[in-house]
Amino acid sequence: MTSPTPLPTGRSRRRDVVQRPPAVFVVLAVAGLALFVVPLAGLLVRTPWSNLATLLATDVVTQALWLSLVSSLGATAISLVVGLPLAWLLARVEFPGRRLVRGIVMLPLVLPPVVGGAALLFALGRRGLVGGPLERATGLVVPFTTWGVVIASTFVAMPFLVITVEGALRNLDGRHEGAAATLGASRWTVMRRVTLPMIAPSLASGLVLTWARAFGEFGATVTFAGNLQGRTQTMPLAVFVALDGQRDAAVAMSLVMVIVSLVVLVALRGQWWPSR
Amino acid sequence: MTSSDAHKAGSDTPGAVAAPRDTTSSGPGLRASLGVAQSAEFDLDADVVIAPGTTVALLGPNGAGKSTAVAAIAGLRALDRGRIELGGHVLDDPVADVFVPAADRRIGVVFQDHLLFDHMSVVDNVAFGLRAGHVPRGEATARARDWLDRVGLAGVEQRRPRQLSGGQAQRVALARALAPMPDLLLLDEPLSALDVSTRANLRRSLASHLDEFAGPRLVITHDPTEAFLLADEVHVLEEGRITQVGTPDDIRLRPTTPYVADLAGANLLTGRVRDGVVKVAGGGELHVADHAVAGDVLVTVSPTAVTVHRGRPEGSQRNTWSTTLERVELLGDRVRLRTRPPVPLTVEVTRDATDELGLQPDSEVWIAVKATEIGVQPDSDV
Repeated sequence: MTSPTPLPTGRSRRRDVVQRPPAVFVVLAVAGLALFVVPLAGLLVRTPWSNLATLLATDVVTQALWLSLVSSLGATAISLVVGLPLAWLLARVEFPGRRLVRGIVMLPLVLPPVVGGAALLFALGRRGLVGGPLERATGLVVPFTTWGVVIASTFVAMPFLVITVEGALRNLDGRHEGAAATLGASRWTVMRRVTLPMIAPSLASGLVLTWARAFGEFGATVTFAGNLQGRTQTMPLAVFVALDGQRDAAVAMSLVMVIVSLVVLVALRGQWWPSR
Repeated sequence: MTSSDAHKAGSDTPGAVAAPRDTTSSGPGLRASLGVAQSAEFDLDADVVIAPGTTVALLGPNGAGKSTAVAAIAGLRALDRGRIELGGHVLDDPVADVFVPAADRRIGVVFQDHLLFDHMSVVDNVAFGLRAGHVPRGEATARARDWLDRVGLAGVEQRRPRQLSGGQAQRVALARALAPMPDLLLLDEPLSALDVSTRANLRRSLASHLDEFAGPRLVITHDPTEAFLLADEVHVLEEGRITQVGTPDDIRLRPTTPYVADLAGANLLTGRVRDGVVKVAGGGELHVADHAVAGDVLVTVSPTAVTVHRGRPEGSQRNTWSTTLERVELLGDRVRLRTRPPVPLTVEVTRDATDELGLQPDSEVWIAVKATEIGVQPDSDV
């Protein structure tokens, strides 16, 4: 009947009121952000910029950094190889005790890392459940070696991959995989060309979380692999040691870890999460 | 093109899209006896035989077992009983312990909501089946482009499926299903995800693509219009059982169950509308309430929306005319009447009414239809 009249001119103002966030939220959010920013600022202020290069060019630092990178990437790779099938089984296959298995996989998330390291030691140590027979059979000794670092890091970090990927697989519309099958695709082709690409964003964030957790790993590593420079002393361990007496070196190494983490995060964002 | 002309030719009875073909031959088509134990209360037991070059519609309400039938034929779930044979090959036979997985069945499926792969371009979607069949990349892409061209979608090759309209996505899904040259084309509710006007457009092009496909074709749908316009033969599926099989005309004019009578029994006419008046193909006029639609239309009239009188009805109804009855059929406590021209209609009345009016074949009657009870939808050619 009547044609719609133009909206009153006060509209945008009204909308501003509706969209304005509650003041309490803003204050609390800023406090939360400060918890991240202030320590970083503290680190930057305390950084001995003038002799940074000298501090970092020591064997201790380069070896620790190299070890950290190798072991965290190794842990991420192992997590991908065994964690992806594990996530797939948990998401797709009904088997007795699935809830229990899922609980076990999630346990390292809540378990204190030191306890995890101790458990690894009891299992894989030279007199451990598996470690003894393993050494007798192959001569391989895991604890207090670089392999020990990788295994300790995998132990604490892999749940991040499994939990992320399992969630993605559960939320995935499985009918796309059925559609691919009707087009003649084998199970392997379906996995490679449909399932994995469809969960790629989750897989990428799972990998980043896993790597980040492994890169910063301290407790399980120091317990299971010890603190041997050049073999098991990763950056976090080196920082912890340096804090006792060599504050400047500790700060410099911390800064390096911050930078490496940021670089990896930004690089992965660009390459693995293309803005579609 | 010829096929769409053929559709137009039989326009006074649009259900008769094509002469029914012999589906009983033991030739190379689909022979399926589907037995699936779904749950304690419900199982599927349906036989479907489709000769090459024939379109069969499996028409049924939600929950009738249509999706189960799709999954069983496509190979996405195994039969509990029965047997599926396509082109002389056994695809599933629990007794003989044969189960050919979906990937090896050569059945092209157009899924209800298309299920296009959003992480690939449109052309890669269409090439997917060819690539899975080890066709080299370059050739697969070239053939996929051809298919896109054939469904009228040249130019969208590099888009993502999510950037397409519903109608475009449907045609990509069709091209994707057809590209690997399947032995059977299976369409699951091919038009239901689309809006009304797109549906009318696509129904025509879909009908012609179906006609071009040489193998057996199976359309699964809950929409009687879709079934009648696309299929040579309709199988009605209710609660897991086939309750009626026949040509679209058989089903519409001689329904044997209340479901078919209610849903499939709707009168379906074609015509041209202008200023709220439909010139019905084959003669007669109908006034409709919807004045916004113009051009070629599909007109639906529910059999229960028509009233029958012995004398000229009183009041302001504009859709009234006199005619005689061709048929009177008992259907439980209801009676179905079929009227003669100018506008032949199927009418459903109560038994009390027939008794009261003394209706029998050749009775002279007055027919009245409220304009608001007439459904009109555009039926434009593409």
